[in-house]
Amino acid sequence: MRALLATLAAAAGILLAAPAVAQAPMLGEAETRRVLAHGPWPPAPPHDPSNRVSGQPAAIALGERLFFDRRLSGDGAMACDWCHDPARDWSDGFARGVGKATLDRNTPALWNVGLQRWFGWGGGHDSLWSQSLRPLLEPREMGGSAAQVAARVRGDADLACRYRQVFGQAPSSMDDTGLLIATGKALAAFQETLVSGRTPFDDFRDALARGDAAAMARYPQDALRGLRIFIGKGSCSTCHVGPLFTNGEFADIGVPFFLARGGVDSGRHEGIRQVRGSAFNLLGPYNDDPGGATRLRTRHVELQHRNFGEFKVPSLRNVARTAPYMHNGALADLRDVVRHYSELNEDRLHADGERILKPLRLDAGETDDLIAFLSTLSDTTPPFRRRVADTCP
Amino acid sequence: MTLAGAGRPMGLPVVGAGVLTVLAAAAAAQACQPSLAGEAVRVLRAPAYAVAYRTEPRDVAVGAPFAIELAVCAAAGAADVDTLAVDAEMPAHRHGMNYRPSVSAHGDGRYRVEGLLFHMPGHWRLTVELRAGARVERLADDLQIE
Repeated sequence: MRALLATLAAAAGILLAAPAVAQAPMLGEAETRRVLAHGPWPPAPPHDPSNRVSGQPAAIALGERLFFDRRLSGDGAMACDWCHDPARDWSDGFARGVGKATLDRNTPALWNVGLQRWFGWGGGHDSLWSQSLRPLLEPREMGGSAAQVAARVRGDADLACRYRQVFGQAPSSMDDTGLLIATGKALAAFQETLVSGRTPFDDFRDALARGDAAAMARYPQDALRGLRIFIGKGSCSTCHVGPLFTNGEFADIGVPFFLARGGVDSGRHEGIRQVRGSAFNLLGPYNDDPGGATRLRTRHVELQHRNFGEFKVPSLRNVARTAPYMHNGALADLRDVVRHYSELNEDRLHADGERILKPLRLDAGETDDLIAFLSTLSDTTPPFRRRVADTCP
Repeated sequence: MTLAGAGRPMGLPVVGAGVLTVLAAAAAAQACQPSLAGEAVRVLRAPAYAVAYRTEPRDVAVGAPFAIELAVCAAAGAADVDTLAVDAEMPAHRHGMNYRPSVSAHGDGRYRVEGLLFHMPGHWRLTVELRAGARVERLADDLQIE
């Protein structure tokens, strides 16, 4: 009898509460804290102390010009936008990038790249400007060289004029390596401007912050259910944390790391070795940061056995528009991604790996809800328009 | 995101091993006061040593490097500390940090630890390892990072 009364009382509570739930989604205290932690957005414009021209308008303009300049590649056929196409959310839509050859990894979208601290799926670079040099020089990507990049900059009146404006000296007075570094820093200054816009989730999050029930109620109910999975039983926000929806670090989530051309992609393990061995890392002479704070991570990062098979935790902003997914582009769409976590093959995880990954066993409705939530992380930023005048101002 | 005791009042440490021994010896260690005090200071005690520390910045954010200012003292009769190391792990996840902190000694039992970074929210266990001759003492603090 007591149970029946409790059931009736609970049912009455549900009936009474139903209109309020429809008006303003009820989140618990912990849920509210977790949701609020994913904002506010947008953040302050990125600024990189290791790059002395970061944020400077003339450097951004030079970087934009360079980003689309095909003459920087070895055969003059491709520029950065070959793979990072603004019409494809600064990616290419392929499972694995295609430069001079098909590459091993998926081309990451460049949205919010200036807010990251490790670059590439394995984090083989510790600054955006050093990362920007790699495709220029990599034989399977643009296949250029420092000498070639320098010669093309020195030989182009418009580029030479812009370099003088930005770096205070004529390219003809800079050596090849100096010009290469300067090119990377200008490219980075431009890419730092690629900050994604506000999303339906941001509107919901801010409405929650100010207690605006009417605005909260405009957030789709299926997305809200998906959000609760994301921050709750899914534990997605353990790694996809904060306003950028990433902790900026690396994880083994059981995606196979065998390469199509043979061998393995060891991910973060090789990335740490690369960054330590790079002449252009933040511990070297090309870091412009006088305070030294930018050196902290590189100085202290530790190579561990568990780094083998770990890959970057990507930001989820605009994720619905940047398929395919994972470091090797193996998953075609968001449904495949959710299925991956739902049916996670624990045998693929390293035995000494983290204990946080378990198969989520989501039903069809939960899967749809999680996808609905992820889709609300897309902005409505207008298509990119080239902004740089044809001649050096 | 703030630093707070995990399911226990702020400032009460979890000592990793030998709890009874720690309790029995606590009185002796209490006579020793590390030369670091203030609102945000947390104190850990072991049979022969006490450690006081505070983080910089005070609020530790997920994914952001932070440092620790730390002071150690030895109870009467205990040997001076030779070396000190700091590490942290997430026991439930069975992993540590992705970074190895560096320790610099500043004399009079004062140390600065740099290069710490908690890359996930949740329960972290911070460990301070003291070595004095052949003796090794580990003190731990449970922290909840949001």
